[in-house]
Amino acid sequence: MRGLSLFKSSRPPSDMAKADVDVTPVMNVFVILIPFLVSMAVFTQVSIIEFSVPSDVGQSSGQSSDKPRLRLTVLLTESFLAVTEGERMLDSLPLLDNGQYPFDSLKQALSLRRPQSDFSDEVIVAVRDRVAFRHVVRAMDVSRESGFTKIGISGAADDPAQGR
Amino acid sequence: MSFLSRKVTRELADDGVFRPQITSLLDVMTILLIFLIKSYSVDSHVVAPPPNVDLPLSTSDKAAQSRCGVTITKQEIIAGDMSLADVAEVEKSDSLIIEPLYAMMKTILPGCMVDEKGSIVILCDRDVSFAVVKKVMSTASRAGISDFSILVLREGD
Repeated sequence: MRGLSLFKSSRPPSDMAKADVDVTPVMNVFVILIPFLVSMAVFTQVSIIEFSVPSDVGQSSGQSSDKPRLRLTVLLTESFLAVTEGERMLDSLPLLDNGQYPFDSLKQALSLRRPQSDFSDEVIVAVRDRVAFRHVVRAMDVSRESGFTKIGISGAADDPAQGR
Repeated sequence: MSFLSRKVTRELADDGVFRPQITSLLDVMTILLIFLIKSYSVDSHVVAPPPNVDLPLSTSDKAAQSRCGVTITKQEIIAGDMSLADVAEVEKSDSLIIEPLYAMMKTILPGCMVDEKGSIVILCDRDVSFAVVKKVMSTASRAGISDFSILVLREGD
């Protein structure tokens, strides 16, 4: 009986049960704030790719008297991809039948060549002038996915006879 | 009594005023507000891609930082909020240096210093040929920029 009376006393009074919080002002603020934030929000996620310019390009051209050390180079042309080391061509990868670059094959080739290179974390992407920029970015992605952490970009001569 | 009329009756207060249940709506709005404020605060300092540039897609997940930017659209090269050169003309030119861009880079160089090294981010359209990018890089390098980065769209977003 005593327990029952305690239970009864813990109930809120009938007036409090009817109390209702007026959330209308909060809703008004939300209705104004949310469209404002939606209009200002940037939903496109951007990121960056950092790269270096090889020392024989730009201001430092010709300043170094040291013999250049050979790094793996990904040659990107309009008709094929190649992996080279200095003057030596290691892999040549022609375009696929659908005209796309064989980036999957490039990834395999780079993964294979990387442990044999003197610079296992550095690669240079050498690109010919008429190649679209999106292919350059894809080649850099593939290089990074193959384990190279330092990526350089340079131009590649259209006529190999005139030098790289 | 039908279901609809019973529901309406339940939402009528003693004074006969209609009071819809907005608790669940309030919950949704609170969650939405927190999400929007969070994304707003994260992205507020990031370089926003210009609307007339289709950035290339990439798997890179390195967070973008606010730096000096050179924008290469399909038509023009922009730096310091000024259109400096025509892309088609730059592509045809034999010179590796774009003179108006070089002059602008020398002007804005003090604002581009990060850790005592000149640093820029290149916002380049995905269809622009590499010849143009090479000349922009060469010009910036001549002006004293040594750190380069490319702004890309994260693949899958």
